[in-house]
Amino acid sequence: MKAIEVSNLVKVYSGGIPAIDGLTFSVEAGEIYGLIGPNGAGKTTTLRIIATLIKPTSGSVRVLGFDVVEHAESVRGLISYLPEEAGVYGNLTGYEYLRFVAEVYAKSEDEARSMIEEALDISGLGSRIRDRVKSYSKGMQRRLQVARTLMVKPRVAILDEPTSGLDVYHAHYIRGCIRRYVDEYGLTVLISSHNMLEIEYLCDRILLIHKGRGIDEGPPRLLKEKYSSSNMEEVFLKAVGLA
Amino acid sequence: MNPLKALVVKEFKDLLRDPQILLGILLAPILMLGIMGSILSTAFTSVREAVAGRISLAVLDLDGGVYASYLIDMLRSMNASIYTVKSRSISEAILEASSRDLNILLIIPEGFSSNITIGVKARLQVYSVIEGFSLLSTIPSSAIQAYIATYRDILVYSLLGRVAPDIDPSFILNPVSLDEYTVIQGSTVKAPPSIIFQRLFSQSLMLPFSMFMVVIVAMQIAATSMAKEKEGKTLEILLTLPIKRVHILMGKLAGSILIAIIGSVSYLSGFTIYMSSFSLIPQEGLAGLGIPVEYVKIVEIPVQGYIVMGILLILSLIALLSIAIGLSALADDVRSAQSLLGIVFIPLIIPFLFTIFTDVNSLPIALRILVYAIPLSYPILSVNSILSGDYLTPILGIIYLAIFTLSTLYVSAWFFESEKILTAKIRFMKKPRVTE
Ligand SMILES: Nc1ncnc2c1ncn2[C@@H]1O[C@H](COP(=O)(O)OP(=O)(O)O)[C@@H](O)[C@H]1O
Ligand SMILES: [Mg+2]
Repeated sequence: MKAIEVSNLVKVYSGGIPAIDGLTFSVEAGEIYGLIGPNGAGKTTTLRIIATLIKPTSGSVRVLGFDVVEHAESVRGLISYLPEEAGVYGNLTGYEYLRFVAEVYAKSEDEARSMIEEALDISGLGSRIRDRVKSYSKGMQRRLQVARTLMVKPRVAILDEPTSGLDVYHAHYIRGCIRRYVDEYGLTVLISSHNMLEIEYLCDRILLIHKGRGIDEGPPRLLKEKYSSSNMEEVFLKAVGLA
Repeated sequence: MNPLKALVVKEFKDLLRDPQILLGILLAPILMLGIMGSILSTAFTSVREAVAGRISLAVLDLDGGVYASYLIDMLRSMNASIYTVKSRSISEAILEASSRDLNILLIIPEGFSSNITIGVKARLQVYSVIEGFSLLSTIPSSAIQAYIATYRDILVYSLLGRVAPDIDPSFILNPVSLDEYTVIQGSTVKAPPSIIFQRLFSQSLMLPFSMFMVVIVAMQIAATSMAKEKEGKTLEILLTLPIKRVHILMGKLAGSILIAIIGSVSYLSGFTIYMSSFSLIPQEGLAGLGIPVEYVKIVEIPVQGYIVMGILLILSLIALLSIAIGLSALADDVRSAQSLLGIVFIPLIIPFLFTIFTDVNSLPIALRILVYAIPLSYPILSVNSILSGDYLTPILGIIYLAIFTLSTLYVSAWFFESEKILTAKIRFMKKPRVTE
């Protein structure tokens, strides 16, 4: 069974032009799959539909066999979603926030506790975890959010620009965490980014998206060969016919 | 583990620590009403002391006769402190009194004693110097009035004793007395209806007012909490967590009801301090009538009455909070949510006003239907129904509210399942969004 199966997906926001226009792709279990494209390509829209937040205009999406519209609740039990702009409850401490999410996902107190320990490790927030989240920098908030997303060890993690707003050092560290989680726990990761380096480093396969359509798909190495380019940026420009 | 419990704890902490909610809803009322109350009670305490006889006054005795010195002796014996002015003219006497901080000048004109002796009406004059337009400044003159009335009674008794020594003077003064009884709901009470009404009124006003407060405060909290999720972009995460959407709604309901209860306790304690400052006013009227014990029993609400009111209140709270949460989910930010909510408050105030000023059943049919269509009407109007022993209306209310509340919950739950909850973006008083 595929971890994610998207077929002929179309999303038209009220009255506008299609944000996604007939997108088809699938993600294997245990794979890191990247959606790559410029701003406005439709990456966030696609991820939101998979995360059961918005409904497709037409087409279908299945997560581990469950339809995201028909069985939204079952899908929510399998995924963990990191939005592009993830808000925080400023009045809670980092710890209280993690505790809340852990209690929602965990089956037992032990499991909740180990989730929070993992999150402390990923976030690297140290003793600041006891401070109110509103006192955190943007980068610290983002690290808390990445930690929150991964700590529950979902079957499928959906990460929308996970390292946006992070400095080089922390971005590198977070990428390492994502990699480690996939290797250790066999998660499936669907990630979006316009950072070509990140995609190249992390993804087993990528899908180039432009104006709501899939342009090309494959492992980064093969795509580079196919377009005889040295980096992904060039691949993208050649694929959409701009270079 | 229990997601719903985790959610309620999260709501509770996040809301309780919100400066806007903490200050505006929880602390401000108790502070404001409390401070107002203690200021008033200080004022009334000094009023009471003033009335209790620590009155100081200046006296200009132009008479010098026997009845004048009776009067002065009596005032002294009643604990008034008396300063005898030296000046002989009224305007100078006023200045002299003022220079000694005495605001009351009693003038006993020439011929006062001789008039009383020959049976001609004698006159007294009181000048009050007012420094500000406060309640306090009226007290000394009222106190003097009471003293003079006592003096008059004493005079009447002694004059009557001289003229008709066989007759009881109190009979002549008051040959007919009136005992008033009020019959309500079959029980007879020895008190005039106005007194009973006063008591009933304070009860039939306080309870609805408290309910009204709880509901309004809870709605504001619920709306703020929902709009904060949207404005702060936390809703997008919340909606993908493995929590039933109905539970998210219920978590918000429970969180805001909890905070609202705390807020209302704050309000009501502030209000109680405020109200208790009034009870310090000497209530001669009530005390004098000696309200009998059995009267208290009639206006007491029985336990089943409180249960019925409680059910009505909870049902309408759930319905109105779902509406508040749903409405604020349509808004893009907290401010817009509060503007939207303001519109809903208008029909809610209607039943509250009607309970104070009119009897709903005397309204034209269209208005009556309007009042009975609004959920908050039921708990508020039930207070009067239950006080007058009518349980049918409140119980019909429970049936109506149960249906209304279930439908609202159903619609809200449906709305929570739809993507509109995330994408609706009503804004007020802001520049239109610039598309990137
Ligand atoms: N809530 C919305 N309402 C209307 N249009 C939207 C909404 N969200 C996104 N869009 C539009 O859909 C298109 C795709 O956006 P998005 O999925 O956010 O792209 P990306 O994440 O790749 O930058 C854009 O043209 C954007 O303006
Ligand atoms: Mg995006």
